[in-house]
Amino acid sequence: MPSTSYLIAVLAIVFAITLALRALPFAVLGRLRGSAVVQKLSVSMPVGILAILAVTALHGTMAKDAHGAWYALLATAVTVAVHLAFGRRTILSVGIGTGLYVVLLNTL
Amino acid sequence: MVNFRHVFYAFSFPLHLVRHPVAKAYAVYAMIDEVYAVNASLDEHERSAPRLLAMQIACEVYWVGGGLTGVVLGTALPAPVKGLEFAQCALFTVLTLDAFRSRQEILPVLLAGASVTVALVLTPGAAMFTALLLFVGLLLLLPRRPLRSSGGTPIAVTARRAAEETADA
Repeated sequence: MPSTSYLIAVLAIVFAITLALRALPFAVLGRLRGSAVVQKLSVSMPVGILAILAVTALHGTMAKDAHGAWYALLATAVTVAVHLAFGRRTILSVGIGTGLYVVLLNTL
Repeated sequence: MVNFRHVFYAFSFPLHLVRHPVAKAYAVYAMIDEVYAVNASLDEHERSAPRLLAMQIACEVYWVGGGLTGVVLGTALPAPVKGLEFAQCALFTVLTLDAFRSRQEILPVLLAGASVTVALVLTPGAAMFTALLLFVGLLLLLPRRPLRSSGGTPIAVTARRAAEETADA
């Protein structure tokens, strides 16, 4: 077990690096913020980034458990259907989708 | 490589709402995927500094608390439950739907779909990285369209925000 001061030092360094890495783009973009290009990007980017995260997360799940690939696709479709049909309740949609995937993966 | 995506978050993360330097630093530090994603699905008028920070603190507490609960439960369970990681997948899917509803723009979705398809075929090992680069590249290549008020962000809000930021600088 490493000493407490060592752990604190490691945590401080990790914190500083994380903060610096995440702050850097803001420092650069701060100057450009008024520009039309950045304005346009800030409107159109979120939905695309989320779609990319969703697809790569799904692909990761399918790659990790090859026999569950179809279950993952089915569970995603069910998540979407539940979300649209039952008034966009995030917890409900995620819960039902995940529950279905877990059940399918572990029982079939 | 994995942290590269935070570069893209900076474009559309409402950091300008947060005034206090310490709060700003925390907001940048705690800019995790979920915080970015939930924020992106909020309307402009629903965003505020207290709400953003509360969301980040809640996420961090939830994350640390969940980790500790997981350790306790994990030692109690005979075997890990397979497939629970699908929750992340489902969450991003749901948030994409919500973000689409608040903007009603199909073009970015199509471009993102094309980017991620190409990325998965060409660079399966670094699909997210390639897809984000492609997506932003495609967005930049598009001819500039006039801002429409029907697109979810009222033109007055955008203009007011731009004016505020000019005043800040």
